[in-house]
Amino acid sequence: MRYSLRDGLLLIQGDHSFLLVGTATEKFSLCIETSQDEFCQGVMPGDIIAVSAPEGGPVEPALMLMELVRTYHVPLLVLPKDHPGSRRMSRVVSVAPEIHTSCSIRRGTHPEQHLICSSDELAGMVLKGDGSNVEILHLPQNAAVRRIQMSIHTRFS
Amino acid sequence: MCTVGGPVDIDLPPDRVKGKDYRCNECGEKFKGVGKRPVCPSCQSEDVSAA
Repeated sequence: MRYSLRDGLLLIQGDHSFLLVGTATEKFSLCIETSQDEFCQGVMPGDIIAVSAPEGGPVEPALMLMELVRTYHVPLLVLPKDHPGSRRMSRVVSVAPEIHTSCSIRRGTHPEQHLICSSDELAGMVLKGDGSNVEILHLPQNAAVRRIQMSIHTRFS
Repeated sequence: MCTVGGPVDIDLPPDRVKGKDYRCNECGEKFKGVGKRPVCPSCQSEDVSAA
């Protein structure tokens, strides 16, 4: 099924987890900083940006993470394998023209751009970017798709 | 690319991620690019060459 993302984002909700889906609106270089090197990935308008929360929780942090990557192009900082802080992190981000959800990969341990870690209930989906549209294949029966909008208002006093 | 959290928890095994060296033809920036269409991280230009 194809959805327009012209006016916002898609929230794919399972019973205990969710996936937030948006598309890149401009070309940018997304840098991934490791302890030893830097890799820069070219992101094109229409590429899929997905934030997965395999353990669920509030949507707002995922929205913020989406905007940090999509609008502000923040570099992604990489922790070394088995870093003690990794257990504090419960959301994953993936950016690519096409993204597959999978529960059979270890969270945060795969560099392939077309995979994102998900819960069991949201595994097996394929997200394809097409301009401001996204096509979702193999949507699980128990998953609900909702449109979601966010805006950031700043008031100085 | 799968990344976790605000900062990111991701293991990038050197044998699985091999960035290709590029040089930007517009600003001269040198960087390691991944993906099919590298973009200069300094000036956002696609006019880059393998270094």
